[in-house]
Amino acid sequence: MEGSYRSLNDEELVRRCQERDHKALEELILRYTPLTRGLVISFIGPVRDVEDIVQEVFFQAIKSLRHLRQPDRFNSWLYKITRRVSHGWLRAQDGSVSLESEDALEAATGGLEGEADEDRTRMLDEVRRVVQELPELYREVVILRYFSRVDYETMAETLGLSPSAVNARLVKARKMLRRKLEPRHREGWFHGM
Amino acid sequence: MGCDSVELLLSRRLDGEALTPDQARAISQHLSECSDCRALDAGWQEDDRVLGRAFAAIQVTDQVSATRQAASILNRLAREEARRRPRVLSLKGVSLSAAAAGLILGVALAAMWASVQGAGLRAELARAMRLNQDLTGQMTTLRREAARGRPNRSWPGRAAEGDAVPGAQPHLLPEESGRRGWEPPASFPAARLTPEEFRREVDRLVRAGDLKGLDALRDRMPDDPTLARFLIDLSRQRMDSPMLRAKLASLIGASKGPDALRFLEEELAQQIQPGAVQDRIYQRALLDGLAQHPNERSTELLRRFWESGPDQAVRRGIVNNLEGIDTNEANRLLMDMARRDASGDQYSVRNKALELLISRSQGSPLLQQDENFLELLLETGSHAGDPLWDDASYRALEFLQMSQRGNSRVRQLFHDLQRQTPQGNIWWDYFREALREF
Repeated sequence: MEGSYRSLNDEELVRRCQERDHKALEELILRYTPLTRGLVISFIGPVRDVEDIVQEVFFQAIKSLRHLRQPDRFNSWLYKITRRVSHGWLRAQDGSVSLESEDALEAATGGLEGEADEDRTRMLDEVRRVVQELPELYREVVILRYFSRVDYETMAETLGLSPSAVNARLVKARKMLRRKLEPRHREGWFHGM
Repeated sequence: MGCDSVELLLSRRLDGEALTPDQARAISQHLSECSDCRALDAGWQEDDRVLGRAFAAIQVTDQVSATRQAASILNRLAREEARRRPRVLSLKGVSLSAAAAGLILGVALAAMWASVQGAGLRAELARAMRLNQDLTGQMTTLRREAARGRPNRSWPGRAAEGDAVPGAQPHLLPEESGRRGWEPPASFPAARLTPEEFRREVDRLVRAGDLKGLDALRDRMPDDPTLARFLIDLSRQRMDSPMLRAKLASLIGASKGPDALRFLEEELAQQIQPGAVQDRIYQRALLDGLAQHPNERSTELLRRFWESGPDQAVRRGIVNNLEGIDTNEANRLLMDMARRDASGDQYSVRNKALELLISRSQGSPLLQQDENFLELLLETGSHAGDPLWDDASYRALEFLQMSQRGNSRVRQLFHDLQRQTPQGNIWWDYFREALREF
């Protein structure tokens, strides 16, 4: 039965959720958690509250799911909710958001992959800080690509763009990042990573 | 193939997107001849590696985390539903009798298991037994709650209705042995009421002045067009209480049928009459309601409303309405709003309006060629670097760069911006690259 839910497309899955099918709801949350988490990070940075905000996004989505008139556009609808909730959180922080250290992230995300020594932690923090400096529209494609690991088609559907626009945004984002990361590569910052 | 096209393909290749054999050959051919693109490709590969590591470090194994997330949400959902259930029977009675029924079912299933030989049937029975265990587990939780005597409508630390995210504090559930959970939202949609139950409940809540109760009722409203008339009549009787009137307007907005739309439009028109008492909360409720009934006819009313100079929250309500109306007239109003809502505190309205226009223009050559739209984008783009304009200005620049490359005014804008930007700033490089592409 679970396998059959996995094979449903979004439209059918959302329709079942609207009929209060909890298995469908579970599958929908499983399917969209990585993408939503990536979006939240792109909006607010990798802060401690990411998991809480992701939960809030799903609750707000579930709450108004029955009002969704075009179930086939669920992902772009969820994107808008994610953006609204994340920006609401940012406004409430009054601009005092700081990126969390690896320790805090570990607490928030349930553990890092592998042992992180101090230098490596500093380097990784630096890379993420550079990404956070990008304007939102470039930052979101970078994070969807490297954190959520979704393909161009999914990014395009989510952001309401064409796949070629996603491609163009990633090219621009890469050029901006190159400008910042190249000197650090030259200085050997990332040697051994 | 030129460098610009190859850059797009290199990025696609790096991201694991499919390339045709012709595209792959074109990349190889170009790289063998162009040292700039070879360097770019090597640089991007270096960056790709560190970016991958940086984000992998904060990435929980996706499936585990997603499962945990789903479990927390469904747990919250189940608790919310359990919270609503005892209105019919006492929780203790339900849980105990259900647990007893579960036990009997379990014994029956075990007996059947022993006698069944077919593998398919055994698998089905195994599934049923797992389901039984789940149900028994849920009933155990319900029984614990009942034994604690915890009132079902009040959970300690529960976020207030409508709380923003920061107010919704995570709460460690005692029975979850360390697993992080959330307090149930009062807002999760419960089963809808019948029209008669709904009328009775509204009457009761209005008499009690229970504003939160009226809010929560919205998600339980049945699809019955006659309810709009009932709510409108009630609203007319309660003109003395602005908050009740706003809550009823919100319910009217959520109801179906032409009566609801007519009421919302008439009330909004009334609000902009000369000398009318301005009630911003009521206006916002009416606009939120109107957004549930998108129709072209409302555009003129929305324009008059915007020209009456409402506050920012109401302006946002107007933009939300325009999101559902994709016409030239609606786009013109969005342009006016994006242009004139330019002062400091209006930026979220302006950004939203601009974002909508840019998104629509991707499928509308008419909008792309609109001179007013171009003017708006040039003006917005010229504010690049101003934090209040940040997102809007870069969206505008990106759009101009992609769709108006041949326009001399666009080139001039990018020249000016590059001149104003200190060299070494991340944007200096962006403007230089854009000009190179022009």
